[in-house]
Amino acid sequence: MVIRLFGAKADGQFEQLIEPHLNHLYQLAFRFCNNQADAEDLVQDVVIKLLPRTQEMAGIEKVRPWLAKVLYHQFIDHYRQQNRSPLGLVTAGDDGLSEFAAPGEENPESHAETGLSQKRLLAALQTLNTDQRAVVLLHDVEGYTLTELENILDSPQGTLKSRLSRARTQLREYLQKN
Amino acid sequence: MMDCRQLQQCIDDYLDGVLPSGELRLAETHLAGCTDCQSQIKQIQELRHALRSLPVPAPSPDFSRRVLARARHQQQRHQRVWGGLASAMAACLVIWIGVALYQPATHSPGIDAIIMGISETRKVKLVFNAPDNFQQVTLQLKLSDNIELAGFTGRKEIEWQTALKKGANTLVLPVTATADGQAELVAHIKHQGKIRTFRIPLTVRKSDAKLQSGQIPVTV
Repeated sequence: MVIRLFGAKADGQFEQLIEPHLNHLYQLAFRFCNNQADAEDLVQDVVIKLLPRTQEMAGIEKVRPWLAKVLYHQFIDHYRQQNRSPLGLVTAGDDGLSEFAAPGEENPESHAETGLSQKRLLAALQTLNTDQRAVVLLHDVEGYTLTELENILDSPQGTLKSRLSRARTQLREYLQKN
Repeated sequence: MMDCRQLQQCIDDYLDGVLPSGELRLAETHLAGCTDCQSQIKQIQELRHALRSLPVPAPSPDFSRRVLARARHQQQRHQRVWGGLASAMAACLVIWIGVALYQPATHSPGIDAIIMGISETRKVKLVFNAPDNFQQVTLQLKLSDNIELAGFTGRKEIEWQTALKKGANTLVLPVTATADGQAELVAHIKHQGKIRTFRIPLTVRKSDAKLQSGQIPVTV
């Protein structure tokens, strides 16, 4: 019995479908992770996950929001997974139990090239919870409409609107205080 | 007429430019005479503008080609590794993989029981050698009655999800012996409906026998 784990043949169809969106996926991943290496890893994970779904992807009318949804869920799965692990899986040579930093909790100070206001903005974004940050990043930054976000985030528009409103208020309050 | 509360409800649709024409007219009429709502619109627009100006550094060189090549490579690896596993599982429900226990002086091709004393806590390392990256791997540990994992008192079964990176992945288990006798630590690795099982025998002695510290390499 041989289980076919991946259905896509190496005929280039997958590459043709996904390649035009890779930069956008990376940009979105960077927004979530706030770190280049993590963003690239996230995109890599998404692409690996999508490869066996080539035929499904070929039938999607609006690919970009669909990809955003896959990426967001991959990010959330990873985030939750790291928070759920009772024991850390460490690389060889590391004797201790690893402490996984939650993606998106990068120190904004590491972006030395950004101006003060950008540092403050990044710091303000870190004060939002995962749901709030997602809706702000996808709507206010990346420009997805609330209708698209209903599907991407699996939440009704009413919830998204109030989440967005609270997130903006929180951001403004943080920026005023700091 | 639209009031402030009603404008609040459609403010995002207004800013997104997706407000139906009838509501758009009402919103514009309200905004023309309401400085509070004008101010709020302005604040949101300024915040959006600032957020959108946050820079995104370019990915590393050759990012697209690398990502696609690695996905294909991983696909081939999975087909070999898990395809082979699936074939073997047709003949045997649970695959029992022999693991070697490295000791400071000797190297045993099989598994020798780890010897430890009651109340001792020692780190047992399981080294999972993965041929490639594996996502969504479920690790399940089962412990016999006379051993525990430090920090998980009373729990005989622990399960969580993780990812295995290509190469050596070390799982450090702080094992505590609670009663003498034979013990067994069982690790199940589950991935896409398949399972591999590793059994690590332990012998707990009443005396202060020292645990054979070492690494247990297993190949996924």
